Amino acid sequence: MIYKSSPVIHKLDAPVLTWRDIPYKAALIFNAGVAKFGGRYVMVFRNDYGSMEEHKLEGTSIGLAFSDDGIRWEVQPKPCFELHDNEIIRAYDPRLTVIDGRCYMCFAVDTKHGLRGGIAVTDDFEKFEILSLSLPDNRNMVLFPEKIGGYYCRLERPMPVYSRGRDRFDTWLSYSRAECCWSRTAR
Amino acid sequence: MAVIFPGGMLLEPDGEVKIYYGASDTYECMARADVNELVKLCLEK
Repeated sequence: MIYKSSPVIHKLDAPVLTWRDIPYKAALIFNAGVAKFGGRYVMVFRNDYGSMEEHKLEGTSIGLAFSDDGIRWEVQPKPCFELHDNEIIRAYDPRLTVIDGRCYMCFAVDTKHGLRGGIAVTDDFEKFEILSLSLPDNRNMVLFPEKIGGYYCRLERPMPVYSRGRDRFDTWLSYSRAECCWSRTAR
Repeated sequence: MAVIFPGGMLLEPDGEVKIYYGASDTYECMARADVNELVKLCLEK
């Protein structure tokens, strides 16, 4: 099946970032979040690194790049965010949202006990404070860029196991008074 | 597998939307559209 874009979408001829642009070990560069923050464009990108020939994944990190025009990117010398310990396998698929002058990053987390959706906040892309990790299995979160009625709003995509005997990938909407306590509302 | 994963949307002052997306779990790409045309597309479907 061939999928066609709508004519209102104009794709650039070439990717904006590939493994060749990364000054450290990199293989697959994709699923980035982008925002305008501090007067410039900021990108956080997923880097699945390892051996491309052997199709062997060694690890995943989140890298950082800045731009003045959103097209040409200056990749920073080191990744900016990486999670790995006895329980957490990796963090990936970052999305950025600026709210009230702070930059929030939603990200997915693979753990030994399921997939979790994380939210962190940063003011400088050096220090990230993790505010919340959802229960499993949930990811593909994104925050709305402004509060609505005093609430932070977030879209997310849980993956229930025991539901109606088949996979469901519904999008849910949650609200929170603070950055860390989310109450579920509607699908 | 041809998968597109949109992770960033930026609205520019002139109405241009920059859409950043991962392509086939391999590269990061960007597309552009006009915000009014995108809204019209959503309302049409």
